[in-house]
Amino acid sequence: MKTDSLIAHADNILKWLESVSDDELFSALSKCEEVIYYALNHEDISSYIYSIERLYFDKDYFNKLEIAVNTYKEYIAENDEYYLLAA
Amino acid sequence: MSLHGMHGTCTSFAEQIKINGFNLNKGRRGTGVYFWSYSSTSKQYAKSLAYAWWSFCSDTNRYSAVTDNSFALFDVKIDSVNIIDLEQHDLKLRLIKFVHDASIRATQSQRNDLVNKSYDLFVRMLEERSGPIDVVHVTVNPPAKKYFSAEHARQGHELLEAICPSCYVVRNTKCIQFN
Repeated sequence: MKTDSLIAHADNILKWLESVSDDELFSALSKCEEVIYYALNHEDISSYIYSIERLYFDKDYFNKLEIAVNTYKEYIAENDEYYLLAA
Repeated sequence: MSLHGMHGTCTSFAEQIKINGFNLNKGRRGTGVYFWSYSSTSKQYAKSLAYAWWSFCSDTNRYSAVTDNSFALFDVKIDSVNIIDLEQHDLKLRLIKFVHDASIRATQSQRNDLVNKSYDLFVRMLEERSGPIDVVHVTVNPPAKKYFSAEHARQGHELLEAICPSCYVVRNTKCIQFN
């Protein structure tokens, strides 16, 4: 990973932080924690999340992720065998 | 790239890990499996840290529901090229600003786990540029002195605690190989 590129991106993240409201920020922090915890433990949804088109400064990004994870949870809940594998 | 790390836990959890692999958990530096890093010269120190972590967890009743809470150690190799070093100076300065600016906007109740959440969000946003990040390198405070073994002091490792030890936070468990 090129560090210069990441540092420039980190500057963009700080600009994003300045641009969002407090509600948007803490909503993003909470959703991110839940989504990441779930996604990293489930390879299928993790791959899906990485594949969806997104922009971090899209204020709906974390809502989209939450919807994606909830859809996935419903899917595995409907399939007992898969659910047992994923649990 | 191959990294090396130690993970301390109880024997009951270790048996489950040997069968099912590691589970990711929320931690002080974001979500992942935490390993104390080591090189050829610092393996014993990493073992001491793993022991102290197990001791801390025992003392705080994290193993109260298991049948065997004796110490177990995992010595692993972590293979990945998708590694990010959050200790890199310029990146860490930005991370600190990110956590600071978020914290001063937080209410008291929002401050719970704010650092962990901020690490998760910061890394998640970096992934937008880098692609999936398997391993995050960070430093963390060592467990308190009382949790280390007597051997730790005999080996002269106490002074090392002044240097914040480093950890690998593994977010993709497929990178982990048992030694």
